[in-house]
Amino acid sequence: MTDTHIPIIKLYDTLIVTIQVELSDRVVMKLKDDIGDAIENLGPKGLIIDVSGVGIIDSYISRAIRDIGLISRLMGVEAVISGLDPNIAMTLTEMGMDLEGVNTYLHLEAAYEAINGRNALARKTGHEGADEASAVEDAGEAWWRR
Amino acid sequence: MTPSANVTSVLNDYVGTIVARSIVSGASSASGIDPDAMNPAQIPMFLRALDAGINAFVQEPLKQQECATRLRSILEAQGAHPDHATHSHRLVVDINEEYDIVTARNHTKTLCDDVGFTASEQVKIATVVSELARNIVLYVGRGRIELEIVNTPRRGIEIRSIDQGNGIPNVDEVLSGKYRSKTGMGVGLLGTKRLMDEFAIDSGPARGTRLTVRKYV
Repeated sequence: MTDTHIPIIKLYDTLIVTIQVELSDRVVMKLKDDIGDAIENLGPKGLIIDVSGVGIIDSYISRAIRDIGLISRLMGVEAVISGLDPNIAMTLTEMGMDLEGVNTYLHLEAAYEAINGRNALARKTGHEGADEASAVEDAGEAWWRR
Repeated sequence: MTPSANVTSVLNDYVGTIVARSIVSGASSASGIDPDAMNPAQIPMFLRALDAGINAFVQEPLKQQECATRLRSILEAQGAHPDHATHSHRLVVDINEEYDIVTARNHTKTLCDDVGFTASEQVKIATVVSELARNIVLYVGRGRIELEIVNTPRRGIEIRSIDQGNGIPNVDEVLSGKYRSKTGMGVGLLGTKRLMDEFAIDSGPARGTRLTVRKYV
């Protein structure tokens, strides 16, 4: 087994972590360290954990994701989750688990807009006309929260 | 299991063993097709031959239909992957380190495909296997996960998690939902119970833990 490294991407004021690999104990610990460092060094506005590449989330992984969210919140950075697969959402509900304390959005765009406000990306890149992104904003409201 | 054994065991849910066997052999001689050596193109013809036997021996029309549908799905599943006929329907995965959790989950997926679970059921079952395998890795260190396709009372999958650890000290409390460990063990075990159709646990300091769960299609 090779040691996996999860990259942290900076997009303007937002950090994006896309989880596409198996989260083992070691990977989770490294990721927590890396995120702590990145927040300290870059001072971002928000952190998005995108889990659209994750096939299953058991209680251990859900706790790891939630911990990362809470760590960044403690450091003053809003953390949200995006891209939760519907089958995983159903499984988590049935198990009686939730990702408490961390808001969830349908996809990455919605999560980004939630942190940075409507049309944030369009303003940053100077494409004022790009309005379609706002249409999905409401759909991406934190439906996961009960 | 061979296709003929699979067909016989499905039929066995509707008729007696001897009748089930004679439906299969009757269909085989009527159609001239050996179910254990047929190619995918012969499946529809063999199913039609089986229908004659089902209609003769299964009384209720709804049951006839259900039986025929199940037979079609298992035969087509086997036809689509010819090597499945030789697949073992019982798998043992030794769990010694974290990566073995992934291995166990991958094997689970293969078996679930064979059984015919839907995508959302497969996620639930894979989550349970992950949960059980992770408990072994985190709390005991070594153990094994056994996966087996079952056909009675219905088609489904049985998952057994076996280790020689110190047992789970307060298993009743954990399963009642009152207890939550810092590490989240309680959530995982209780969640496993909620996701499965059947759940049995035997755990103690001297004998380790043996957990048996089942999910039916």
